[in-house]
Amino acid sequence: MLPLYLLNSAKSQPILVELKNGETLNGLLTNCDSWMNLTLSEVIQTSPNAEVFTKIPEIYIRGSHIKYLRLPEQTMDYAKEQNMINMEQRNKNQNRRGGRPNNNSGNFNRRRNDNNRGGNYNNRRGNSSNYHQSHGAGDS
Amino acid sequence: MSSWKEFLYKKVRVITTDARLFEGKLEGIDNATNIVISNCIERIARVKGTDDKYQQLDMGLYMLRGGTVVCIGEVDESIPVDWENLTGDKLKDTKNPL
Amino acid sequence: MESKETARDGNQNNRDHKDQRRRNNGTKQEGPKREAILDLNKYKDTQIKVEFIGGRQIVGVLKGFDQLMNLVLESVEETLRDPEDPNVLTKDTRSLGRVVVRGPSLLTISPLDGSEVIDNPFVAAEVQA
Repeated sequence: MLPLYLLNSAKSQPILVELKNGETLNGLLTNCDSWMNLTLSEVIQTSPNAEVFTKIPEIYIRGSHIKYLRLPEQTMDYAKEQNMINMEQRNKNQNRRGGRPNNNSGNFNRRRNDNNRGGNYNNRRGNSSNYHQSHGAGDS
Repeated sequence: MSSWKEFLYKKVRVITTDARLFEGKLEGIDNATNIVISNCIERIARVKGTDDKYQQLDMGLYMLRGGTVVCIGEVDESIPVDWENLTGDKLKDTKNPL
Repeated sequence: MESKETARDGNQNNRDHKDQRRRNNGTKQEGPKREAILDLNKYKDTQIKVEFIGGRQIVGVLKGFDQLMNLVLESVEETLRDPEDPNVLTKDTRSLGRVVVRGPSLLTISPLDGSEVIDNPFVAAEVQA
């Protein structure tokens, strides 16, 4: 499970963010991007010395200055579930187009590339490059 | 090349730039060393020469930014650690002010 | 001969990675976004609080912005910090007038409207995240 994917599944959940300056922010995760920049809503901001508490309706946070995040425990299960659904969906799409059963990341581009190169080599790459799944299966 | 893959889904300890120690199951990691730890606990050991008690804080599902990670190591559970009585010198942080 | 072969494969690999990334963005709903996650339009002509990397803090009226989150603020007041401890903000401010804020040095952006200092909401027991 990639950290940023997990973060994505934590959307609309309450999270705690600590910044590098020691400030903490409690709020609902409204959005995040691939740099881990976040937007939170209904935020309580705590100053580094834990003396000043500020209520803020919404805040944007630069990802590079996050120290850590605490997420609700159930986020993990939810993310895994989403993962499964996506995988199944992709497999379905692929079967419909009559692709190889082993190649999980079937779509147009992939198939176009396949035609340019040896199929064998490709099959191998198809599996290993899908890092998403490689965590679950057969990584040693 | 050494790789973090061997740590995945294992129990690990992580030391961060602000000199904290976390322990839990490594659920995920990416190329920026952002890491996800489930059932995370923070261990605060006693500092030599003080009356501080050992503390263990439950952090739940924890996500650390790559930049704050100093090291990750697999926990060898066959080695018992007496956390309650363990004392040591305080680690200094390795923080860059920015 | 052999090295030529590997070089070509390497290239292919590279290209594949890029393809993969682009594709992943398209096909997975849960994948992280690459576009802006904050619509600054809704803050236009309203007062916002901006914290900087390094700890400075200003309040000003948002007049303009760009993709890189560079901002143009007017009637800016900087909240001064305790010279003894830069983490502590004082009640003193200084006027800066019109300011261009560089996107890369931004830490947080929040609207001033609806923000208020409150008492410690985390009574005794720490609130679960």
